[in-house]
Amino acid sequence: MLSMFKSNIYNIVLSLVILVVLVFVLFPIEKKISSILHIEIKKHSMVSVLVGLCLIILFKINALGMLLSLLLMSFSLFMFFFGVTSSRKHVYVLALIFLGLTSVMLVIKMETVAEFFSRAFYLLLLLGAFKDVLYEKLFK
Amino acid sequence: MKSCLNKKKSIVNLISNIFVLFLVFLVISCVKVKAQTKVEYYKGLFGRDFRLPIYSDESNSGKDFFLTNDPTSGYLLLLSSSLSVTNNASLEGIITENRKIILICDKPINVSKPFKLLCDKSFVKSSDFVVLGGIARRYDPQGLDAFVVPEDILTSPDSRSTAEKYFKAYRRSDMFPVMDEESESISRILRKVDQVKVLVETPTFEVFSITLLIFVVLSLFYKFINSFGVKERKGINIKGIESVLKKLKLYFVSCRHFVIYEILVLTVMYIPLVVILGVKDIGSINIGYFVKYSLDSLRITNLVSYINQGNYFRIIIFFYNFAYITSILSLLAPRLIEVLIVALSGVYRVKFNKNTQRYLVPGVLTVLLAVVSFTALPNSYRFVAFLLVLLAFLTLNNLKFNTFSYKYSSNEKILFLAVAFLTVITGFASKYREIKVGPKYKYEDLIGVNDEVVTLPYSKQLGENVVFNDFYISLPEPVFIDRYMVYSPVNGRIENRNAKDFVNTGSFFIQNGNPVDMVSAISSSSALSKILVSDVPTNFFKLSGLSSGQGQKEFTIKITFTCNRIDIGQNEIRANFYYLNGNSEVEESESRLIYFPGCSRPGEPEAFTSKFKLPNTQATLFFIRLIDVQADDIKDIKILDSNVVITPTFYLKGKGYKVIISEGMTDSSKPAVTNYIFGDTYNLSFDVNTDLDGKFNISKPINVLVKKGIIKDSTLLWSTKSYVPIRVN
Repeated sequence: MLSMFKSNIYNIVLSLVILVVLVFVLFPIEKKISSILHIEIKKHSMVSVLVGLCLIILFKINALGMLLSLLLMSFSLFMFFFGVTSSRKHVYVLALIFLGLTSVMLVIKMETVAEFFSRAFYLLLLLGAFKDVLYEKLFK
Repeated sequence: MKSCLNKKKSIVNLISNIFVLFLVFLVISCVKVKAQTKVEYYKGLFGRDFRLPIYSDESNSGKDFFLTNDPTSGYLLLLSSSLSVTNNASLEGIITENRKIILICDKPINVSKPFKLLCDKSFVKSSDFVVLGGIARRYDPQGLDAFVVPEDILTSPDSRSTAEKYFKAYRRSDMFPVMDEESESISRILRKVDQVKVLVETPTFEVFSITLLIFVVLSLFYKFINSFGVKERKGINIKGIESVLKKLKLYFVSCRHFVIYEILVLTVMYIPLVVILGVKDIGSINIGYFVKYSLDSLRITNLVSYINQGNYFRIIIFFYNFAYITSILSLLAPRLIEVLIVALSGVYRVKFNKNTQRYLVPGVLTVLLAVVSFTALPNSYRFVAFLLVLLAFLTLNNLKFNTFSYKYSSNEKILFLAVAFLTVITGFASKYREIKVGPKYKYEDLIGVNDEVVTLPYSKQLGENVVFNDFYISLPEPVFIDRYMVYSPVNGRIENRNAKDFVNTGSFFIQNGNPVDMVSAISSSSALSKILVSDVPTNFFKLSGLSSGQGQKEFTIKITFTCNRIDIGQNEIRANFYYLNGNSEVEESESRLIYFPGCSRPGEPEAFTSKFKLPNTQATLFFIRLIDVQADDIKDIKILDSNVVITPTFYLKGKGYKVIISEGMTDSSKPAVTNYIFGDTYNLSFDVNTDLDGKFNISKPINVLVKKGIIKDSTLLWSTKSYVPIRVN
């Protein structure tokens, strides 16, 4: 049992922090803390601090990989939300452009690049479909 | 009108002159390619096909990518017909000047100095070389690096194809990482590079690369896409960022004319570059070859080696491509910035529904808990980070628009908490079970490459929870993985033990080790200390019999260098001092001993004297290791305390993975062999049970070490001799 705790110490700490975040989200604990400390604490601030704590723990595991991953994922997420807020017509036109480029690459025998372009085409179609089906349900 | 016509005429004249000059150049180049000697032919073969850097004098170097005028990095190609058969001195002289040689035997040759070698067109024999696949090889990292190849191997298509495989195997084995105390910092950097390499192969990077591609293509076709229904662009509402981006865009727009001119010039330069490169290397014009050459040249890590090799054409191509890419990027920059402003304004306006916010935040938290509870964080930290970024975005978005005030019904609270706790409990229970039962291992091949010929040493990168499929071997030499012995051709049982338990009986190997561990073991075992004493001076020695508190006192050290190598690669000789503190723990300190200007004449020993102080401690016994100095470079070391000469006790010490001493190996009547290891050791003992063909499954002991966590990450399979073929198909 002790060896399990030792080998999973980061997992345990992270789980505890995430559980605390969940409790903060579900219950108005910040109000009680505010009344004890006599300073105004907002739910967002508490959640942000705890998310920051989680990121620090992850940095402890692999600082370089974490930093690079954060940058790459932030850009990917940024592009996803950009796609969601764009006109669906624009998304589909861009998808068609990628389809055209894929064909061109196949004709000139650059299969690897064509595969890469086809993935972008697929992702854009997925984004368009996601927007068509779920936009009104998820976003204002 | 007339002046205009004259102008046109002069331009046409200029173009025709350039064309004629180009044709003349083309003809000259082609003629030169065809008129080649036997040596030039073999230089091309070894350089292009076998991928070995070839030494050439200054006038020829840099013409081909494999040619270099640096004799320390390129092989000098020799034909035995160009050497005098009886004149050993000529070959000795050549080897003194060039330590890297390829000798092609096109005529019989029999030499005894500087090495024994007998070869002719069809065979090679030598006790000083390793002969594999008909090719003789000798490689000392600081000394001779030579290939001897009978010419028949190169003229027969089948033999040449086999030879190519052997050269590949040799190259792979020569690249093995010598992990020692000096190269630890390099390995740390390499581990960082590995982390980046690993990231490139993850879905995170794949998604990023596709989104980046979409961003770039969107910027290129932005106006075209907008023509399908223009969307009103609103400001970002973050004035600072918008104004900075707009200023940056204006700057790139102002540079546009210059950049267009630059791209035009570079495009015009493209044609002669393709022609020159094609004619120079392959005798014809080939755009595909240029593209491949450019991609090879674009690697920034290769730039240093091009500069060292004086490969100016590669350097030109590198900067040409670099200039081209940066020009095109700066031409595209205003478009990219425009799209970035639009994207920022779009993302800034993303507004979630109340219900989305209501369920997405606890939903993301529950998924996070599941990932953290069920998986190993080193494998899943990217996904955890992604969920955290998403959570941060949701929180900030709610802060901005105040969509939802985090009010949940009692049922919702109970449901979310119950799911969260259940997830955590189940996750950690499965982890506990995994520890009890053991992890689920994946199986892969011990020799992971598809090459038909693989020789030892062989470097292996271990994955997590990966063990190896059965791999049967029957080799004439023992095999080790890192410092552990896993195969012996003559012994029925192998025992790996800590060097502190050394007993001078039976057959044994003593591995090289970290100096701190060696000092600790030598100090605690007199039998080990006795067996490791060297009769000849080395770079690792002990000063004993000193009175305590010698730290303030000045000693004189006199080091006599053998001068077999004029340049030992060091301008100063530094030393590590090791001594035991009051708790019998080894402490270490470093200091500069002497400056080394180099030897006056090769082979004539030369002594250098300097004053030094021992570390300020109460210890009476010191071990000293001369850093980056080979044992062969030391002829003698004397320590003078006033006028009293202290003779050090020299110890055997190697570099990297190496057996420093072995005994009783020729006695086949002794069934067990013990491999002594310095430092923390797992006592791995097993019987070498061979199958009916006399082969032993080497994966079996290796898998034990993997499962115990003794070997991990980067490991090395090696033997006491170089180029032992572990796979020959």
